[in-house]
Amino acid sequence: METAKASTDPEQWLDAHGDALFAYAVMRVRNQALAEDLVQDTLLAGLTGLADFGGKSSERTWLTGILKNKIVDHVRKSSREESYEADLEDGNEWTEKFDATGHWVSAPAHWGDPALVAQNAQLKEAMMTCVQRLPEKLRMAFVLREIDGHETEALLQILNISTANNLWVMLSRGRERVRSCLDVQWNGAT
Amino acid sequence: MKIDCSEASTLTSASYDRKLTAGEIVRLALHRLICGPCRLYKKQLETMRRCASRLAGNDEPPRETLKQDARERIRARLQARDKAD
Repeated sequence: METAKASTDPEQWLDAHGDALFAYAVMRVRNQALAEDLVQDTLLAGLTGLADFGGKSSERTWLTGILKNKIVDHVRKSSREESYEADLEDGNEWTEKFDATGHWVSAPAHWGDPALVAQNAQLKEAMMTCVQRLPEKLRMAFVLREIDGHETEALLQILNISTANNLWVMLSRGRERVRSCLDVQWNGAT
Repeated sequence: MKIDCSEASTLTSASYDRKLTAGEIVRLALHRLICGPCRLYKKQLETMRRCASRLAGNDEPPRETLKQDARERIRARLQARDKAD
């Protein structure tokens, strides 16, 4: 059992994983000072919980898991001050997508086989760009749901959103904004 | 019980967040039978979902890095924590 402990060296954490943890945090919270604090909190929590590191996952994965929880804790706390519920009356972006007969004004582009296309490096880059262009509340919902895979029931609490229906609407608007952004930013796998 | 593209796209997105009702599933399937753009829409959302999960990882070279002063501050804090033990 001692070998697991011996396989990690906390003195090396900051140099080995600091930048990766910072990039992970800043991509999600969009605030440099806050991301730095989250990295520090994560490394401190890692020291405290060193005994829990079983060596089953890599150090990086283990520390990232701690950071992922810290980010959720932060969002949960900040949503108590101001909910992440987006103003859904804001603008008619959804209705503008469709004409009077309910058909697409601009039809979705042909991207190709999802399983193959999803591996495309340029798509990944474009998606990062498009996600960061979302309005903050839609962005946070999209990131936590689509990228980090939190369940919708959990997100209602984390984001302090009043009804499941409102969360579903926010997520569908976020997806639609990212999708139409990708249709412009990225023109297919070829 | 026919639905239009606006409703179909709403249901397609909802299918990623909740279980659709039997009626919704049937209406959506019938609509897609006759609507090429909504079939493409479904493929796009599936592509996005798959690609998004690739953004979750933390294995690639970071695109943003810690500033030197932040790095030193954190290092000092970790060392202080070590001494406190």
